Amino acid sequence: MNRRADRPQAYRIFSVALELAPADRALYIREHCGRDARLEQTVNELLAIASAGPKTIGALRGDAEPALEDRTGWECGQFRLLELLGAGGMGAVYRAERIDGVPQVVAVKLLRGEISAARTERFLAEARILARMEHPAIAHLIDVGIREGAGWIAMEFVRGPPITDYCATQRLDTAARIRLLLTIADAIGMAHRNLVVHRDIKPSNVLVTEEGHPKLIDFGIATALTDPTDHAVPGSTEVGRLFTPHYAAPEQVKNEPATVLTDVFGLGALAYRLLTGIEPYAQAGTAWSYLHAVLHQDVAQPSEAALAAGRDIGAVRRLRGELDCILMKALARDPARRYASIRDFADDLAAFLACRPVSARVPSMGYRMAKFVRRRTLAVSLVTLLAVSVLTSAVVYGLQARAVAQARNVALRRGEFLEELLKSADPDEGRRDITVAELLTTAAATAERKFAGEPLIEASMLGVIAQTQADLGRYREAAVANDRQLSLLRTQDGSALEIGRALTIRGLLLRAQGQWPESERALMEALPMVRERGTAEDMCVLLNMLGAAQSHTGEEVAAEATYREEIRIAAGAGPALQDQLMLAYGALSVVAGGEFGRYAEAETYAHRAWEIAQGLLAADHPDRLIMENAYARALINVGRPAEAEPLFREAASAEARVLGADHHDTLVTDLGLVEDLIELKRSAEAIELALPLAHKIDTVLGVDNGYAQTAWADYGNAACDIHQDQAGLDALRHVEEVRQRLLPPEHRLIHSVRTSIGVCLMHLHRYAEAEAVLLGAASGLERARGAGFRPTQSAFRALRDLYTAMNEPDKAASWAAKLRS
Amino acid sequence: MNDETGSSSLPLLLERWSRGDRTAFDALLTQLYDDIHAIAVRQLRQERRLTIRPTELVHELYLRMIGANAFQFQDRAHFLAMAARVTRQALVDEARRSRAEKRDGGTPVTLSDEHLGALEGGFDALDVDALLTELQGFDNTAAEVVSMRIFGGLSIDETAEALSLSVATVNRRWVTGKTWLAHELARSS
Repeated sequence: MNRRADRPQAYRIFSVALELAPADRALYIREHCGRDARLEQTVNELLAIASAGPKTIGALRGDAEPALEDRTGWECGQFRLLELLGAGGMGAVYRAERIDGVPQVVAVKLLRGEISAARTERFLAEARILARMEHPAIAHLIDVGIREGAGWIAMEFVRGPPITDYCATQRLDTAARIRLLLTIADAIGMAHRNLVVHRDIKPSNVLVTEEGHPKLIDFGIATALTDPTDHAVPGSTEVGRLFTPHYAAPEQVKNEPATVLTDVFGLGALAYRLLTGIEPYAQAGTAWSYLHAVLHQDVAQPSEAALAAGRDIGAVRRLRGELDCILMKALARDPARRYASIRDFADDLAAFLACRPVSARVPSMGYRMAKFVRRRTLAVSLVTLLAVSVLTSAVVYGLQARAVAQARNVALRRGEFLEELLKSADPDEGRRDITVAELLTTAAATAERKFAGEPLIEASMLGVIAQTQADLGRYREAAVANDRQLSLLRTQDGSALEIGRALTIRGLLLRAQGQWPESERALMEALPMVRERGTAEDMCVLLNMLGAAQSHTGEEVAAEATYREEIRIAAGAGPALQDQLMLAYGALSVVAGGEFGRYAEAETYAHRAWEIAQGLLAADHPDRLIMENAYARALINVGRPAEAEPLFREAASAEARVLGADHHDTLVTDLGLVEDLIELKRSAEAIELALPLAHKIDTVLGVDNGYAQTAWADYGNAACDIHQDQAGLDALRHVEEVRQRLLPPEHRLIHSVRTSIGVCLMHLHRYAEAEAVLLGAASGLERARGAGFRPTQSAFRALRDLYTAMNEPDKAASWAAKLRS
Repeated sequence: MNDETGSSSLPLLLERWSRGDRTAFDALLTQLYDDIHAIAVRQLRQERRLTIRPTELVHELYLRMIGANAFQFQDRAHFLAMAARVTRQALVDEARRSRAEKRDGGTPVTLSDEHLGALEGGFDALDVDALLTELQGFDNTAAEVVSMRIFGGLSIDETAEALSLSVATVNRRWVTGKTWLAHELARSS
């Protein structure tokens, strides 16, 4: 059937077809297979495997995995297996009932593989110890046995979701999550006193019942399955098999014996996941990278990991400080630096809940170089800076935060080996209590001394130091290292790419300090070097930062060209850079719409970004929601507010759920909805949303934040619309005042709010005042952005209405003539 | 136990090689081969494993090496790539030897890899090797990528670095190559 000679041909047709849109595949295959049905079938099989994954192979082979063989109906001891619930690494789990009719439902785990006669006794003995453990938070073991060589374990049947799902669906707050953790800790502590170690604490092993009680399952099973005599041959147990990435302790990864401290790590990892929403070492996607990360790097500080993952600011604040310290201590790589017992760990969590002092102190992070690979506080300062400087669009913040994160990842990847290098170069490695700052200073000096003859290595190291200092928010120190790195690279014939990358970091540093023009210069200098040698990703990251810098310095034309180049490169790189493509389209839409008033075009770009987001990201992904928001905004601008409304509502509710109601992105989307309602002339609804929203933004983002002003302006406009004129006027005057304080005179946003003020004054019949304000606003806006700009048109429309009200039809007509449909 | 002594020289050889000492390369390859082969043989005989997960071999080797102080990971991707090639060779040799020893076909050396859909069962090492060699004939890049991933456990990024390819290319070839291999393996078994 599958003729050998056909194989290359089938492979080629398959490879091409895979790149085509599914709709085009059939035609292509038919054309290229001619009438060869067997060839066509082979190609279709290949496509099926490629799209459905390796599971289809079992079906193709016609063999089920042995462990998946359904044993329903089997009798194990006094139980009969009723239904297969699932299968995992250790075996398959069934729901089972008592044969003798006593109403008892249990879970029976059938273990994979055979238990040798020699180990049977040991297995049963271990199990008997486990059966003695009674704790309300442990699914207790009921019976064990061996059937046809396979071990089985009957356990209490726990009905309920994994603890992570439970916390999410119940939307539990931090305190409630900690209380669950304390219950689990109590159970683990009891087991430890019985000399039983769980070894595999992870969300899927902690279920929560309907009544809200957590239950640990699989207690001690890993232990029962390990024959201690195995240790006679070091490294002989199944390395890489019994560890769960993100929850396994370093000693487990190294295949060293597990101790109670291993469970401290496991519970720490679970706590990290529950309190931050992300897993420890989340960036380590594969078993390899987890192995490397957990052995060489400290886990990212919880508050920073949460921040980087886009959790809401409130959650980040709650983590910062004591919870950071507690979790870092539980997750210390060196067991000796962890809590000495589960009890100590639990005591600190309880102390935190009760607001008593905790025992964990700020960890002395210095003695290892691991922090080089740790995300730092850069994002915090960016949020603050952007909040002041970005007024134009809702999407800009999200886009930039992402671009920065990506730029950082590029730099961090390079850091891995330098980390090792620096560790060996550091004479103070054994000292335990030096601070990061001290260490970096030492490292910089060491670098100079130690690598005196190897300037390029020194330069690379300085690059890592610069990055770390920047991450710590120490921009001046970062700049010193970055300067020295650049001068070394330049005088010592460093590669153009290295120089380009160092300049990219410089651009990042300058931008973090709000020095946009300087940032732009550095990035422009980097551009030709990266263009020549860098990867497509290097280029996209650079261009994205450059585009942002250009639009900040008022060079929108250049920014547009930059984003267009980014689009070209990202589109040319195929599926790998789709996320960059999405960012570039999003940014381009902002430039085209917000800056140039080319709304129809902006809508096209925003639509494209939204399409990519839908194809690329899960429904709840924050970036996808940002794009949905951006597209909805673009729809308002092309006069399609009715279509925008469901998008805003969908994004807002998803963001509230995923990010929290107080998250920056959520607030911005809520704001979009308010503007949409105003556009739809549903001002009463708009006011109801706008007033609490404006207060909330003031509190969460600060009064000086651009969005706060937008919210008050929206409230003011809506209030004027339904003739609550004085309230509206007060709000608008407040916005004018803040903007005058923060923005350059004549800024278009000052003129925009003045247009609204003029409308309000007109409603109050204060015509003379209204006329002066509106005339100023109209000419200011026309100068700034031209007559076709939406706010300019609004000012024209207000003037027409004003003169109509003042009974001056000629003037009204002349302003009406300037209106575009 | 018996293979513990040999691996201690690996880090030193690697260090010499990474410092630019080309003469260390042959010795490095030989040592790597011996170590990997020893681990594989131990798993097959002492532990009576039926299937080998090649990634685990490299994993175990890696763990031993980071235990040695002199060892620094300067070029992890290239090292892993080398380990992947050596692992493939060692397993194929072992399979041939085992086949020759037992005239009736004996116990084949079977490989298991989750990417290929074999969590429990395995594929004959010689089949995998032969198919990869065949694939090399019409898509050399895909064959290399699949070999790195399966025999060395390299991530997509590491593979890209080791083979000096773009991540996008590695992604594409990984999908086409692994799919083809899985398909042919399913056919032949």
